[in-house]
Amino acid sequence: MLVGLIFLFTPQGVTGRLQLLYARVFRLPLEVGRGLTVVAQTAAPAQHAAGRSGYEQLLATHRQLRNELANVRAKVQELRRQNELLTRLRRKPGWEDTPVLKASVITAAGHGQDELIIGKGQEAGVAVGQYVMSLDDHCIIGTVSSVSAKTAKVRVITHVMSRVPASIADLGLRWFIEGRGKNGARIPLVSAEHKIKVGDPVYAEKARGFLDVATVAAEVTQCRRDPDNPLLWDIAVRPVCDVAALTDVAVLIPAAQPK
Amino acid sequence: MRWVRFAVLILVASVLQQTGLMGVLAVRGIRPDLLLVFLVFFAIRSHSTDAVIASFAIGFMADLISPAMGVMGPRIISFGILGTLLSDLQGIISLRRPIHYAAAVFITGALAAGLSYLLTFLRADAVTAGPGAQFFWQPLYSAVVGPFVAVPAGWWMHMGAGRRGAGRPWPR
Repeated sequence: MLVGLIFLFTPQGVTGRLQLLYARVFRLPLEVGRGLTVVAQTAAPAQHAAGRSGYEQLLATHRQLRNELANVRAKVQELRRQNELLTRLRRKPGWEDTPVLKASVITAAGHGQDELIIGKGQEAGVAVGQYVMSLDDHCIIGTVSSVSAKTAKVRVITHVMSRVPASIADLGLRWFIEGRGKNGARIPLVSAEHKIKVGDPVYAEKARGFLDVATVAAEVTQCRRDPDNPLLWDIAVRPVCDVAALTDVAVLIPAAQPK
Repeated sequence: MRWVRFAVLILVASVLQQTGLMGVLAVRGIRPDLLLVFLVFFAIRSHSTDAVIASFAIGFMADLISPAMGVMGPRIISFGILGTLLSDLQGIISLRRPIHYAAAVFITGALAAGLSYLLTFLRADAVTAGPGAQFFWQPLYSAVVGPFVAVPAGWWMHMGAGRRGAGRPWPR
């Protein structure tokens, strides 16, 4: 009982390191288990005819191209802003220029599997607050929430404690994606004056020192009048990539590391 | 109490729980909680001191693999207290029959979820996604699965239900 109370009032930084240590010690069975889970989730298409597998491949390519197109649109908008600001120097946009660190996913964590433990930590330059992308889908999945020497924990945008600055389509305004768990999130306090529809991309907004250009993170799945306040939209979003199937991610390491 | 076997069993359950392999048993996203099942198992089949130690150890693993809101401690305390109470109840009510065992799993799971939620408030704003799943459906599903998991667990630990530590899987 005393031990339980000690853990309860121990700073989360310390208990977070303990969790990362457990993930590091039992890395092999956790990775094997996660690999089996991913294989089980993607095994169904292999049982169908070759045409079905080709269709799935086309679908994956379509999803990647769609995200690339959304990112290109964000870059075009950023370039337009630069042209308008003649007297001010702006950093050239392009997340390709931002150093990325590839990391393998050891396992998922948390109640709703909305946290990931990755195999890179402080020694590799990972720090709290850095954005994390999916390598396959080129979209933001979350941010680093805690880090140890060799591992780190990534809080997905659907985590109930996640709050990522975001914008919708090309509206150019700034809101926040707030996680709701169960692979869902919402964007509150959006005025009903704005034209938003299902399928609109949701971008993780630029963050000085962390993200140089807006990058697609989610898509709108529901947009209706808020029953509590008809002047606002009730917007539900979901990540554009399948977080549960991720095996590798990319951590965006800013050039000037914040202290 | 065979502590090495206990440790292996709890570690395997934790890995299964964390890697999502329990997803094969998921119904509408609800998965059974193996650690809850084993909490009740050891609470009713071990001697009182062993049951208390086992309960706190299982609570520690539960907090390690998925801490509530990033806070460790709520499940160590809730599992420990409820496991201790269950062990003490063995002198009054027999929980060896499958239906009684299932009921114990359900009630313990619901109470543990509630107590963990309250304890989490001491450290963080306890926001829970899907409270219905956490406080009712998951304990219910664990109660359904529990009696089936108890049989291989009893074989592994050499713990039957006739007496504490010996006997048939379930009493007649």
